[in-house]
Amino acid sequence: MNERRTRAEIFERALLTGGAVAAGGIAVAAVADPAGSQPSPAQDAELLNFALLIEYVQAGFYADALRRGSLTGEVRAFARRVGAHERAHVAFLRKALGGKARKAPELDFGDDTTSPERFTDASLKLEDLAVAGYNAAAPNLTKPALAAAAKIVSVEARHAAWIRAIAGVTPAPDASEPQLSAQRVMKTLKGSGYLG
Amino acid sequence: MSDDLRLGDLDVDGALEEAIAALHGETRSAFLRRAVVGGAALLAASAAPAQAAIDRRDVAILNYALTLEYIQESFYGEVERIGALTGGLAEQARVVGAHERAHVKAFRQVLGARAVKRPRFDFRGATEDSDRFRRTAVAFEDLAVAAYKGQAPLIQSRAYLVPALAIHTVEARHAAWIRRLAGITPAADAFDQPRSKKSTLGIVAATKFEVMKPSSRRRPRFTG
Repeated sequence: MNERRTRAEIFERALLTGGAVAAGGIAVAAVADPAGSQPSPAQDAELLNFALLIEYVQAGFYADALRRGSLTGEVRAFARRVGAHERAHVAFLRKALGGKARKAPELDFGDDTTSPERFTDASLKLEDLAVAGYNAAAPNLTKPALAAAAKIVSVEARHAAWIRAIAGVTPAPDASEPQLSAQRVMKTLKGSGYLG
Repeated sequence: MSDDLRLGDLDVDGALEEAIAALHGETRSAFLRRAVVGGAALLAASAAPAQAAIDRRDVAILNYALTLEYIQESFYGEVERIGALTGGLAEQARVVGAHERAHVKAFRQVLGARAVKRPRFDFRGATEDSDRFRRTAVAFEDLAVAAYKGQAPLIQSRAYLVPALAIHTVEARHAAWIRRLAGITPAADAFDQPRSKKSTLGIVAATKFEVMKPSSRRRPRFTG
């Protein structure tokens, strides 16, 4: 059980160091674009597939939590509404990617969806992680893809603020959103055990 | 500058990260907030050397963002000064007000002499009554999210796109926070829509909150 518990904790640790990546990234941006980051349709497909993976994990997480049936009240209302949003994001990204869309991953949420407390803790970290991942990827997208991603990322931020408010922690901890690179997000998701 | 705290610099061996991770989320937030003070400073610092070379279109976008931040900063600042709110609303106004001040400061630093002047506002009682505060704050925050979203694809330089996106989602967090306090769903739709500059400024004008456009010319302080 304790081992399961650490899945959610891994998110927290990733975001901690993610703050450093964000601050550094802003400073570096004015100096030079990292090589190979010039937006292109090929890079769009890669980054949107990364976003799709995040959405698959989130959609799976809320579906699993609702299936287990331990949620009540506002937490349940949150899971239902947010779960529907994540499903809509999955559908949107799959359509945008067409034949390039990745397959749905195998997911295992351990015990993180079994009680309202664990659900809230894990959801909070998953939503913060999604926002940080989208914000890091977005500047590398072509303008049309950026416009589309921007419609999703603010909704993820609303989810994050909502579950934070439910958890009794500040909904908006920072004046400037931390970012987390796709590599760090992937590492975090794999480390959590959610992704096989 | 010692204020430009970077977690990575502090946390090379992960020891601090471990210690903080063991603490409550609130502590983590407080810790990250220190990094973000640095982050706001970095927004300005990153642009400072290139200031003279800001693309004309980006200057217009940054000044538009500054205009929206001025309104919010003045609104929450007045709420705090009047002190009519209590509990969760007072907390929201305090935290969000500090964020908006940080945004204003960052944009002003980036723009330097090209920054638009702060207008004068009259919020017509919206800062003095909790019900009117809630409704006004929900409108402002949702408007800010849509406005940033409308501008993001138009920003020319990555140096300004990155911080603009980082502010965009913070405004969305503010919006969700105040919506919940107002008893309406924090995330109504699966997709948030953008709003054009013209439409946004039309809404701002319709509020009549802005009572005096600052003069573009600097008046001499002393005559004769």
